[in-house]
Amino acid sequence: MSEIRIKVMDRKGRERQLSVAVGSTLMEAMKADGLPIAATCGGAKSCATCHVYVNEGYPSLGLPDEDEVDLLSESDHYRDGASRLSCQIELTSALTGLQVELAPQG
Amino acid sequence: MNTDSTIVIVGAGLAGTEAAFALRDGGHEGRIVMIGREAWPPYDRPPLSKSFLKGELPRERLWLRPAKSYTDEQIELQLGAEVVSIDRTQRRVRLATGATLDYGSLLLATGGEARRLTIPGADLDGVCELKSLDDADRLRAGLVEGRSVVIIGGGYVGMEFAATACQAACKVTVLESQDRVLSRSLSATVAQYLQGEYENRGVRILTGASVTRIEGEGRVDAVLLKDGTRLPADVVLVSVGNQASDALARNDGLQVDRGIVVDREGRTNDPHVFAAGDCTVSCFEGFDEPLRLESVQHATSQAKRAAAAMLGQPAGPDEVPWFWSDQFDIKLQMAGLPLPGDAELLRGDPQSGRFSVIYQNAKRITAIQCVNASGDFSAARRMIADRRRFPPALLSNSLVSMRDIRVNSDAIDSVA
Repeated sequence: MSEIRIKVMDRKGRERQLSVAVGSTLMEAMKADGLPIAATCGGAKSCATCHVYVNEGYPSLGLPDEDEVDLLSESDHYRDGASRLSCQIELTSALTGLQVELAPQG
Repeated sequence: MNTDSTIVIVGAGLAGTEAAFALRDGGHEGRIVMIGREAWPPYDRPPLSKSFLKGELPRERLWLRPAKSYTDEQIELQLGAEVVSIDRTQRRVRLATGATLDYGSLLLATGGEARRLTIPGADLDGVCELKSLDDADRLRAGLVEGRSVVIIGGGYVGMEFAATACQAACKVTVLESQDRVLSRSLSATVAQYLQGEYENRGVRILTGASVTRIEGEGRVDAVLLKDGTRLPADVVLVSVGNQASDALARNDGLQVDRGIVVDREGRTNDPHVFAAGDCTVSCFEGFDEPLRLESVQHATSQAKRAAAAMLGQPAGPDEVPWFWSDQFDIKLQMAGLPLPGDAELLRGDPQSGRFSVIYQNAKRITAIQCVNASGDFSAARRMIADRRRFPPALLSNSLVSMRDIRVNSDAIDSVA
């Protein structure tokens, strides 16, 4: 299975490199690495607890759908042009070098 | 050995796991021991009736955390182990093996267990419940095209399983004793909409059904109803609700009332014992009796709040309860708790497959139930938390987004 390398910054400002398999979602890959991501609804697009800021690579992700925008834009921590739900980002080989940051909880 | 700083967590489900990590995150340096009855590492339950059952989600994606997280955070997992009693005077738990473990603080996160039927035949092979990963494995093997599946109880687990079985091309019948499915938690409008959608997809739903007997020799053959109907069945799912697993607490004299009684931060009537998740009941504004909420969000939030209380730290905000359920391609999202007597407002047209039902009383909007209407859900969660009342005509007008209503309307604080 092919893997890509991405960078994730946690809420304490620590950065880590992840080698993740393509085909899974970013949320799943971060959870599998033990990053503190709640993902309460398990990827059903019903919460915003897997919220990330995409600092590098945002345009290559395509646009979030209406449900995702609705959930994100009601968050106190929403940042236009950076906020995404990590459960909606499917990892493909085109996303190598992606850099994300975990948004604050709540 | 000084065990004052040892925290023992009974139960390795979502609440126990969330609490364990929250305790480390909150700076607890002593031992954390989590004891779970099942042999599996802590796992996520919602997919058991949906993607896992369908075979779309591999087993290892159910684990709440990777194995290395427990090692990294020094959280000791004792799996396949059962606590049989608590001695609160000695602050000690006893395991089925006879081993004991002393604690400084104890967290009970024992979850819930499926209610059983006492009718004849309930113990036949092929009669299952769906609570654990092992249950899901057993049921998955039975979901074969053309098989007859009978579901006793039209709650969330029953309905989600019905949808999955229908998608596996089984012949599906749901038996519900009330006059509609999901009657305990959903408005009649939403429940009727869902019932219609199930029927359109070929699921047979019998309401007001009273099951008297399950027939078969060794293995289930048919389900018999009081009115004489005989439903052939290869697989029967009993999904008649859960009850709190509170026997440990009850046996040790902790306060129990259909669940372990806790405050909003997981405190029991013993200052060294806390509880969180489906095993608890607690008070909610506007309700005379304590309520037991069974949801991922409630278990997660209560576990974190209990962890803070155990460490003597201030708890985070008490979230508005919310829930979700995916059935076929229908996304149900609910927030808040409707109070008896609240007005019900319909927003959008059920015929369009996208609508919400909003509950509001003289003081505030209390709850929302959304069908394929995420935008309503997201905005309403905040509106409920803000404890405001909004003009009913505006709430019912689906041409104005809930977000616009939330941001732009001057809330009515009380009825003139």
